[in-house]
Amino acid sequence: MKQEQSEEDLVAASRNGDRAAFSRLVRMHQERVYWVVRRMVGDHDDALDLAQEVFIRAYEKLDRFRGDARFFTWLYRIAMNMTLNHLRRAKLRSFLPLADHGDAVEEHDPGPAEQLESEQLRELITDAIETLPEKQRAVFVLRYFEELPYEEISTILHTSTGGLKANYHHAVRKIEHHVKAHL
Amino acid sequence: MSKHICNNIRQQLPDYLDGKLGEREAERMRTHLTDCASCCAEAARLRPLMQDLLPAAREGSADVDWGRFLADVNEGIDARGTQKKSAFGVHPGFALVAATVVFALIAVWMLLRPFSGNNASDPLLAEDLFDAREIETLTSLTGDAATDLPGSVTDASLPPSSLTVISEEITDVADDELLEIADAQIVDALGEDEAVTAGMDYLSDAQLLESLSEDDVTLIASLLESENFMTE
Ligand SMILES: [Zn+2]
Repeated sequence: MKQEQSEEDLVAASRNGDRAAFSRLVRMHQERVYWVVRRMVGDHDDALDLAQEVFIRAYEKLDRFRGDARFFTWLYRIAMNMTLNHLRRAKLRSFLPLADHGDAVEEHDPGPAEQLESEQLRELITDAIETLPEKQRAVFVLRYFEELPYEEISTILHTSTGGLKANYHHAVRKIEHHVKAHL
Repeated sequence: MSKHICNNIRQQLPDYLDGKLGEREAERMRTHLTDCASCCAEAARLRPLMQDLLPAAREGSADVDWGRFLADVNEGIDARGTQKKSAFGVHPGFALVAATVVFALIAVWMLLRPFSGNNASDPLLAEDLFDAREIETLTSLTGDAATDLPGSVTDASLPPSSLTVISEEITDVADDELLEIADAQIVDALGEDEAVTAGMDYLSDAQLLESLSEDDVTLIASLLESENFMTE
């Protein structure tokens, strides 16, 4: 077993159709990809589907990865593009008169009294994050949860670094506003 | 206190409260906060969130069978591999791509309206959005399919319904690439500051839909309904 194969080697091997190498890349990054998507979309099942799709897409497009960014940054980009796309279409669907939006208005059960306070808090934060405009949400998730430097965020979101801090600040303010109103 | 300094300071507040500033910047922040009542108030307002509430949300747990996850990914790759060969025509990703193309292009097209009306000094022209560089990008992505685009797309009066014709010509562009292009164009068009103050929520879907004709909405709906890419 060549455990010492670098990520670069694994990427190169995967590009040549080495599925075992790609499987190792998936295992290395699956949890982080899942969580970044999960924090964007909120829903566990959607996040799982999207995260799998991210890896499938990554494999298909591996020859487009030029190695000028870290592999994970590239994965994040795919994840973010797919997630933003997903959110936009979900939002569009909810506006369409033809679509059934049975799940558009999600009723939150108050939950059993013994439910952990921290769990409720997490839900409240999740709800607050869901009120953010998509790109702002992306900036918030990448900065707060992933703790990425602004340069990397700008690479992932394909924007300049200029507005990212302002974006992050706006996001935090909106979350604060939401949380305060619902506590 | 200069408004400009306060603005800069405030943008750094979340990072400061989260312990993400370097020592020099943190020191600058502390000095400013002792001198500036309004920034100090803003810090006090955000502190409970940044230091008590949000950290609790950082720890999450999910019940995922990662072995199964990997198996599903591999299955997906296998399935896609065979579908990819079927190339033209009833491409499974086509509906999705078409929908996204329509959506992205309409979004760009929509930008021509609110701004050209209200902001006479800086009217947004279609040429600004689809300049030679963008067309080049599109062409490189789509090959021959995009070569017919410039003439039709640069017409600012293009109604959204015509965009479906264009979308039908583009059969092999990945949706995320198109979205990237659309995003870049939109941010370009808005100007960065404006995009930021708009919360970068440049795809204001509600606004977008309000202005679409019923036919367009029906069309997009049917495209969305027929795509089976993400929902299956
Ligand atoms: Zn100040």
